[in-house]
Amino acid sequence: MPSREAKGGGQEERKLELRLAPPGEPNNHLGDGNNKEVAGLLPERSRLPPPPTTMTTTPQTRFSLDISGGKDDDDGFKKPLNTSSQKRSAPGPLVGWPPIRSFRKNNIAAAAAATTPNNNSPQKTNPSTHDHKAPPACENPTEETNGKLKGGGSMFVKINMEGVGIGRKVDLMAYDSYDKLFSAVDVLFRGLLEGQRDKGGVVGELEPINGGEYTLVYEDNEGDRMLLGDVPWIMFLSTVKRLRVIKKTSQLSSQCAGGDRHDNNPTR
Amino acid sequence: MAVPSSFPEEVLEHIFSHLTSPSHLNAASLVCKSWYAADRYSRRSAFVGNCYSLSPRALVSRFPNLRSVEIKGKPHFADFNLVPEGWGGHFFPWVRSMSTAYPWLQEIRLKRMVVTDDALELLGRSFVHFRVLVLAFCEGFSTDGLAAIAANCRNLRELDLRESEVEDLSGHWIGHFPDSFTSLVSLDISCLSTEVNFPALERLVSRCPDLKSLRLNRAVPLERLVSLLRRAPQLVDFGAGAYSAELHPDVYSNLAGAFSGCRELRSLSGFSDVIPAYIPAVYSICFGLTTLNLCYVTVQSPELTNLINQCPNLQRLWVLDYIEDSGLEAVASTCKDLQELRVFPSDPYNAEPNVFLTEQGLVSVSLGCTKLQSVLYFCRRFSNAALVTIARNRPNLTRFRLCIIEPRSRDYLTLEPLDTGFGAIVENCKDLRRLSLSGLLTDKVFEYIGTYGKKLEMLSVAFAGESDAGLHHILSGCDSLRKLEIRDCPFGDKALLANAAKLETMRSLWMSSCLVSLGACKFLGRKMPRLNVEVIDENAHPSLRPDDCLVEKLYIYRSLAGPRFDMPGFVWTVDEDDSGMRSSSIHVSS
Repeated sequence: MPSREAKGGGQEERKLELRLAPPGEPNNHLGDGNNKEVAGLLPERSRLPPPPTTMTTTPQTRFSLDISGGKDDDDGFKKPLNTSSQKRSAPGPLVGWPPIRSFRKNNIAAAAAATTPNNNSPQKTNPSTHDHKAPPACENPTEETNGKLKGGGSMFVKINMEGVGIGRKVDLMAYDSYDKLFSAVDVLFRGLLEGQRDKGGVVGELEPINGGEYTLVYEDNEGDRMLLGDVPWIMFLSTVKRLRVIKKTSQLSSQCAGGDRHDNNPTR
Repeated sequence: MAVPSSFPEEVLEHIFSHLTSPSHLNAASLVCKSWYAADRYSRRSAFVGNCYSLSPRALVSRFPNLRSVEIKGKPHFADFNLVPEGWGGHFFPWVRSMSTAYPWLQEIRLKRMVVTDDALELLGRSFVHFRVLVLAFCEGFSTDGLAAIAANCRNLRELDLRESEVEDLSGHWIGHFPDSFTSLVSLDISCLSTEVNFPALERLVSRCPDLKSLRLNRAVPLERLVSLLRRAPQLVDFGAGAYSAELHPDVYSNLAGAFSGCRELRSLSGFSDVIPAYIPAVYSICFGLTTLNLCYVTVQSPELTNLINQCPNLQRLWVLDYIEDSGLEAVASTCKDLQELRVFPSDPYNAEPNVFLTEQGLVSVSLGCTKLQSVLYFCRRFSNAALVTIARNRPNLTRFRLCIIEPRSRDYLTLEPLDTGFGAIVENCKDLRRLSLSGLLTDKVFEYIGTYGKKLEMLSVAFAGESDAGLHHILSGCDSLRKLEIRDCPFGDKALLANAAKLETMRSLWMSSCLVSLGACKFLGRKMPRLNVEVIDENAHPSLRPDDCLVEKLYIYRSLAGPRFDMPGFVWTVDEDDSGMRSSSIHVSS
């Protein structure tokens, strides 16, 4: 691996020596961003090897632009040739977009679902009937299915398993039915159960999570523990706050909300 | 010049105690050694913008007499699930140091930190004079921790849990405030999901005559609001819980009566699930309202407009896009003192608009509300022309965050990128401190930002730019930049390394899904010992990856404390010894 250090002795080192000095010392300057000499680690032209021509496939790789070609502009930064069309090469769910806090998302989802009978589809004029020669705002209508953005949004809730100290989070929007949620929870905790088994814990690792020794319950927005499956999936989404995987035996002892939640270590 | 100071230390300290701005005090402390010492002993409050920028021990030894500490933890993008769970931001090491060093500590304010019940218990035991606890966007604690605070903090005035994730074990924690406890001034429990013990809450409200701010959670039903409002007519800020779904005339009239008794009310929030028929119950106090937070209110534009028309003195309005352009026109004509507007999307994951909210709404407000300074606006289309109009109407904007929901959206009129529009914003709004971009943007917009955004302190960029030139414009041009967060932009090694020195002048830089290579991160980490260069890789050890492999998430921040000790397994920093990447040498769990 070629060395990337700027060789050249003491002067280079001094140039690169930037300090957040405590007060009272003489040369107290924060790295002066405008001073081109010490601005950065590329004193002249770049000494880095040329940028990669192919993109390593990371989970969210989306760019197909060629960053090794293109003409130089005055700053020495190369511009890619095809700047106008940046299509997503691997369309996938957009994490964290639009930038809304999940706290807010969950609350609005709950609030909207609760008042759905009052909000009929608004009888508003479609923006395109205005006097604008406006094409649709979204560029690639083929990417949207059923009018939903590829993201579909996310609704992360905690899920804890009885006897397991560490919890997980699941995105309920990634499923559209109880069955899919059950299998996902199965997969999620199977790994943890394997770990428990290695440490000598006793679990029924060959049985499915739901239907075997364990049962999946949820806590709703009123704090009550409820069994899954009674209400339609969408209604479940609007009231669920968190999930729990509990042993069937503990289900039998009657509990009021908040009664038995001290039996596990709080998962932190 | 070595003129000895003729002021005794005490006089200097007294003078400094009148300087409240930290930057003024910082400047004063640089003048000479005696001023440094005077500031050191007289400093009463500290703000730590990044909890990893210095160690708790360093804070405690520099400022031995603090009364108030504010600490921020996770990067802002953690709000949008971009920072994996367990990343860090632990409060315990801080409270442990402060518990012995600051017996007189009165106030702690935390944002995006992990706070455990143990930490809260230690806090409650350690600070006899404790008055203010704000846990904003925090997590990691349960109602047991709150019970410890309630039981131990005999002089507590403020308990604010805004939007924190609390493990709700039981509602009885509120009963742990002793009967002799009467000092409460502000209580925000709006984030709790289950019902608090209502009789205990009622008694608490009754015996605290100075209670000015009360924000309840959704689990407090309508009838009970009446009882609380009647016991606290002196309230200035009230956050209702949830409304019921049906209209009960007697409940309505009780509520209207209770509200009318609260003549000091200036701020309203909450009202999740309110049905329109109940809204007029607050009309009697609307005239005095300066803050209205309706972002959980899902009623439609006509009812919202009627409500807004009752509020001519509004300064801050947070609302869902149900308000629509027509409602915002009402805002523009009614709310002449408006300073801050936030419009949130009601259905953000639908590409099709569900409401008639367009750029026009914001344009109207920018024209009619001459004091408007702060904007957060979600919508589905925008144009350069609208942005230019807004910029010309409101050169006094200091915060401008526009989120066009579909990434890389063009100007819907001309199909051009939105460079010119945002360029007008930075050019006209000379005091702009915070900016969030959206829509289709080329490197040009960054050239404008670098040229004009001289006061810009925080910039958020997503799905924008074309090349490293964009990032270079930002880093080389924005003199006041403190926080930069970037996602999904084609910015890479060159701009980052060419502006490495700039990074030491900033609090932090976040880059995710960009084009920065692992090798550049290692290089930067080795060359800049005062920067912590942290690579977040949830899939594999970075040493297994070649140097030209792109990093998924990168968080760079300046620090006097060196690499942190509590990195979880997926956070990697440069190993000084072998210039590879390593995780934490010591795993500290709090």
